[in-house]
Amino acid sequence: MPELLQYFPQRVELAQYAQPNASRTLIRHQQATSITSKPEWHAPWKLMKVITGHQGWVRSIAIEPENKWFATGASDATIKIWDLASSRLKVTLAGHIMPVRGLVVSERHPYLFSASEDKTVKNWDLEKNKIVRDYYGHVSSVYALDLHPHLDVLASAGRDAVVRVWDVRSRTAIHVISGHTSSITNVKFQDADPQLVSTSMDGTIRLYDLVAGKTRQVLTHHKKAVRGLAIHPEEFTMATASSDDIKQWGFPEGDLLGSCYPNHTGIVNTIALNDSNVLFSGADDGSMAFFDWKTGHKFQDTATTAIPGSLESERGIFASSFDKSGLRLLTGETDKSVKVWREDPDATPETHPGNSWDYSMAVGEI
Amino acid sequence: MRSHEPYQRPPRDVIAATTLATRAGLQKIIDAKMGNTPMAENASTYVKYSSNSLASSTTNERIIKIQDIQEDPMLPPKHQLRKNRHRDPSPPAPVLREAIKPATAEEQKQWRIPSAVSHWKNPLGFTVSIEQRLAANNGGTLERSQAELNNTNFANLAEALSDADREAREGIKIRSQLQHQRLELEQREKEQRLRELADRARQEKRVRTKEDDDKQDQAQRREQIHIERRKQAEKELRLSRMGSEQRVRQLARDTNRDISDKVALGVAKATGETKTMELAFDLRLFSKAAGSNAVHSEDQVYDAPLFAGQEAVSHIYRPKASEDDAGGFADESRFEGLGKAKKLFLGVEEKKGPVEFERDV
Repeated sequence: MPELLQYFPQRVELAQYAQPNASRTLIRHQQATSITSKPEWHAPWKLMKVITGHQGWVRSIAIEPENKWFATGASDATIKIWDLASSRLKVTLAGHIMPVRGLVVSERHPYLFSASEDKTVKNWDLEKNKIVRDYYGHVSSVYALDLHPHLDVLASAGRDAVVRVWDVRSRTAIHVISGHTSSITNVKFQDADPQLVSTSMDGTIRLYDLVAGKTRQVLTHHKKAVRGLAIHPEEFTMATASSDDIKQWGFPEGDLLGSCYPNHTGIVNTIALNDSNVLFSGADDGSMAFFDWKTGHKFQDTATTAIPGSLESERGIFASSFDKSGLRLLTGETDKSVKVWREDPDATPETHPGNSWDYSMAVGEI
Repeated sequence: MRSHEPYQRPPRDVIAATTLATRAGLQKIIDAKMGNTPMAENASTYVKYSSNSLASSTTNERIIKIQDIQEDPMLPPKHQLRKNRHRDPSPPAPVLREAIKPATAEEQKQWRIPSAVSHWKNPLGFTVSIEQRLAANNGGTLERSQAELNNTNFANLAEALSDADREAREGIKIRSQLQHQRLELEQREKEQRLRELADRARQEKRVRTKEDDDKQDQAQRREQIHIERRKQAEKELRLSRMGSEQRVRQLARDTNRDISDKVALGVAKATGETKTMELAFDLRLFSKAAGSNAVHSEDQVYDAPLFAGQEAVSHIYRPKASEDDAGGFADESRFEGLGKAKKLFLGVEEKKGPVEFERDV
């Protein structure tokens, strides 16, 4: 502890933060009654570009930290890297033998990490476009992957219901955290405790203590399998999506803040959050919904347009991500395309008021 | 929806502290796992070993250093994991959602999907109820088929079809009756006409026969005589041209006698006599050898040996190396060894001729 303190001179604030619960619950009660404000207006989102090139379902998307390019992983077992502005294909990485389900680009190295259904997690060096490491240990398909924002620590999870935390350099499995009883769909790191979150097909969300390698909290509010997870870029909150609703949670304790109801006919596969408080949810039948984050108001209902020539059934969204600026939304779809969406630049609150605000939905049961 | 206000990201220094603490904690685990802690490196222990076995009277002492072999962390894994062996370490978390209701009987009924029934294939020959057939007709839903059955349009169509059918049948019946009547009338008229014609012809004939009777009688008689004479003449001519045998036969036939070829006296010829004087013998009599009367035992399949009269036995397999008529090869020594064993077994004489077998006593 003494050597820690030299890095952090403001000890008072640290101490304050250590015991926040009592005061916070009080605030929460006060605020819950006072929310009657109207939701913030958001411009409707429109399809801007369709990028084709993959030969299979596009199952994962990762945006580069500098927002210049993005990577997509697909069921054709390849990873493709595209220019974000021009949408031109930069490189195709082949090395996996089954669908690529997880991708993450490192902020501190020229590295891309990929997870695949072939049970492997691979580390690509983007200076040489070669695999430099692989992380051995998963006994089944790997569905999710994330990199710690500040440490060289990688987390991967999948069908074997175990979260594995890897040391990037030495490839050692630091932790093998069990607890979920079914496939894990998402794993996400954040820099403050709880540093690791996972969602699973068993309908639970687990918040982990990263150093101890143990579950801190289990959130069992969802009725059905949880497939979507998004951590808010600015707030200390997150959203998880089950097939019937999207729930909002507050960290660090995992307080339930509320629910958004997408009323999708399909199953919500993916959600994404940007810093201007827009929550996107995409379902496996191609339906999309956009919510205002603060109030849970669904301001837009749309559906993707399948590429001409594709089947009616090939209209589903598997992966989605806002770019680093939050102005573009990328979706990976069943029709083998990546679609780029943006806010309608001509929209005003008068011309595009969006769906009407249902107050009862927001204050109702959470 | 609760307020998001209290949920603000911790300040940077808190995050930095967390990060540092996490890094330190994780590094400790990594070091322990990789075995490169300073403790582990110098974890060599020294053991003093002294052997005092009973066999050797001298005790010899040595000091042994025990140290773990450092493993290369970059080596590929030595074995493959096939099973997830991890258990949930924590007690089960409280379930904070409402319990999922079990499906009621009605809901289960709604979910029931009728089994597929084909109109074309039923290889096992099951009896398929009419409801199932209807359901199969209507994409598997009984409701739709019922609705379609209850539709009045089906009844209307069926009625209209049967009406049209009945009308058509009546029309056909009337038309065929009319046709039948017309045909009958025609037939009757025709018969009437024919009868009239026949009557007229008969009357005419009766008138004509009374005139011509006498003339016709005489002419007929003359012609008959003429035919009889011509027949007689032809028969005579044929008889005169016949050979003796044929004539005898003819005569016999004329006098109503039945004679076969051979019995016809003076006419029949003995066919065999002129050709061969041989008599027919039973050929089996010739093939019998002298000793054939000997009593055969059951083992004796053949009456006589196959090459009984021949010298063939003496010629089979017997090399004629000694003979001079071996051609040009007689002088050449290189052919001498052919067909002969170079080495013999001990105590065995070289033999000429075929291999001899001895009966085992």
